[in-house]
Amino acid sequence: MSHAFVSVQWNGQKKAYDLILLAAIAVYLGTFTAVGIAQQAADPVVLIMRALGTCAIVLLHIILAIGPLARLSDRIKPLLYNRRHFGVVTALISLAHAALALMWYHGSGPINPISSAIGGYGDYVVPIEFPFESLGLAALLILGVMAATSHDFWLSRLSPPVWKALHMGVYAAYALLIGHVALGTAQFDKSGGLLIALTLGAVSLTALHIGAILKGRKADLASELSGEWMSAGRPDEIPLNRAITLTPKSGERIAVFRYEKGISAIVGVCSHQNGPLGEGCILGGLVTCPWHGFQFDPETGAAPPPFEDRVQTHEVKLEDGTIWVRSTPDPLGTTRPAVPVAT
Amino acid sequence: MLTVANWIAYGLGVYGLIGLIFALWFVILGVREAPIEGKAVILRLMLMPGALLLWPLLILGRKS
Repeated sequence: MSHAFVSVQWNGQKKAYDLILLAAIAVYLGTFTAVGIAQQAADPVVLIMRALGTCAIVLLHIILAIGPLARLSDRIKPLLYNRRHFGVVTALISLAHAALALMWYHGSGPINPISSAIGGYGDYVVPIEFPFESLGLAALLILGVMAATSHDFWLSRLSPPVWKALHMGVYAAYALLIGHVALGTAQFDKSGGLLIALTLGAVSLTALHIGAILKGRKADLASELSGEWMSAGRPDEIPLNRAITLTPKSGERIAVFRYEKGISAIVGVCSHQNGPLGEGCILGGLVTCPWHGFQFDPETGAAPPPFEDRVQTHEVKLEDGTIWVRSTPDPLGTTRPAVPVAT
Repeated sequence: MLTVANWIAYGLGVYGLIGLIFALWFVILGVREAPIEGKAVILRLMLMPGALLLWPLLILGRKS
């Protein structure tokens, strides 16, 4: 949040998340290399290189799957909180893979390793001779920029739209990596196993994204309302400490929360990275964004001190047991006391 | 092809070298956000790769 930048805002969940992630990676790399050595499949350096490369691909698939999966199932949402660490680890593993590959395959020739990998010995016109490492390097550059700018400092410095645009580059990186692996596989792996796994991964990711989009559109259509006052149904239709999302004809979505104090409504878009506040929950009396845990007071829209972020509130009234929410948001900084409801 | 590859490689090298010099200046003196003032050595080190990679954007941002 905006008041102060620290290196990492650690909490128990982040530490556990990172420990599990690093342990899983260590197990994968160790197992892959050990099995390869036992089978005398290749030189140990090549095996480590392959282990790092396949690990990065698997991690990238998981990263890309977390977003749509969290939209399809609430149980996945805790994985969203620390996705940035996941991305940084993926970039570092990709970097290690690239460094080993450059040294092993291109480090001892007469031309510099980067020139060699970009196309010193290949032919871009002939698929079987395509310098597939150039695609990997391009993907690494994108992942590197994303990892290097993952800190909130860069979000503030570059502005959210620029930051978001940079980080949407993950899809370009994914496409480049698909090309990198597919062309590399065509040249060196005649079994085709990796290519099949890659195809299954791409198809699964596409299906997940389409499913998440369809679910979002269905929810929007169901809640799309017009008029100055919009019905949010009965209070007991909103789970305690959760929200429902209303979609006005114009303007941002509205998150209507039921919690200990009653009913409050705020703009449903987090001021941090446009996360869906309506999919978040109330923790310690505060609306908590499901993406990165940013918090806001449901009555004022303000982040707790010393943070300075704010979102707008919406006026709420209760008539004949039905919640009504004004579609126009209040001016920033307006306080709207919660409307009490029987619990 | 090799000539083009060499030019790209050298271009990346020059870009990175300028970026490194800019990044050193940026994390030591250029950062103006109050919370970064003072020590916070780890945070400054964490900002270096971003400054190295995005130095043209940061320079343009300073002018606007």
